[in-house]
Amino acid sequence: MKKINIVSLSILLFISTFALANEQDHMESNQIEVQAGSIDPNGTLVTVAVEGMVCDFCAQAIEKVFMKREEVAGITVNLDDQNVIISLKSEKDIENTIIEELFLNAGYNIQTIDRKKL
Amino acid sequence: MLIKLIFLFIIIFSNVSFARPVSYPEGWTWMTKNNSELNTMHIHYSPTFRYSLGYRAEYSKAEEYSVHALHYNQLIKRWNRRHSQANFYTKKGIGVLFTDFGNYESKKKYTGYIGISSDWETRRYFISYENRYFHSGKINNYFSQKAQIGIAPYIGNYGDLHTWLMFKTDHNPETTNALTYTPLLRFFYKTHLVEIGANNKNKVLFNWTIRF
Repeated sequence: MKKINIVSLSILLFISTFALANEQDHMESNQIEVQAGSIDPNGTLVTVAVEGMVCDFCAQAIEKVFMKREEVAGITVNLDDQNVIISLKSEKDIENTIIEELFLNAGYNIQTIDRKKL
Repeated sequence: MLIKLIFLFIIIFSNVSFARPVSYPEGWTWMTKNNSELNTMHIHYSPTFRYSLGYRAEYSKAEEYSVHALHYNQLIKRWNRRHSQANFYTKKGIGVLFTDFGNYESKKKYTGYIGISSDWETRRYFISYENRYFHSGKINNYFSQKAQIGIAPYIGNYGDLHTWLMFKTDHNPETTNALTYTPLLRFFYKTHLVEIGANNKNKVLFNWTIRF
């Protein structure tokens, strides 16, 4: 009986942890306010730390460049944190080298690229 | 004649450039600048972030002439840092000047201008410098330069209304009052940038830029 309880408790704990993690991911995707397009809840969030992004014209430039791509569901440019969050559609991807090239061609340098599957 | 050819050569082939004169790739910019000396209108297209090509019209109030020019801006160098950006541009144009001022009744003259422009900007501070040499044969040849500094009293995020307190100094060595001082306000909202001010000669400044 004791063994069954422990196994049941472990399974419950596993399921709730998994569910909580999923919920946190969904909460995170809900918390991000996209300025253009939307967030694909089954896609990938790519966070890019950018150099030289000092005004709204810069933000518009980056937004226009990425919103033209079919892989992109939405984008948010955060001037406070100097980063850009790109929501990629599920089953779609843009390689890091292409992302860096798109920023360079728009006139900006990047520091880091982080990815998170939702 | 030789001087004219050299001047034309410099205009066409030099890599020297005028402030934020290039947009993002495939972007259009329309701007008008109006101060005590000039009314200008400029529209340009940027195939890449490195250069823009457009049409510029200007009207000189004092000399009563108008200029219609093909205008080319080039970004020579950009320095991107985590919280700042600096740029160095060349600006040049070649076109036609029309005037009926004084003895120059219905006079048409080929004209050109060339200059450099640089700026350094954070989200709080702004500094820029720009100069221009204007040449139109015997009608008008002059050098002018200007410097502008600014501070943002608050920092807005993307999409907010941004406000700047700015101070501009114009230096036109060939005029009687060579120096002009203009305190101005810059408002920046989405795709619109508007500057409003008044100089020490009580003349109004109004600049408006739209990017699309």
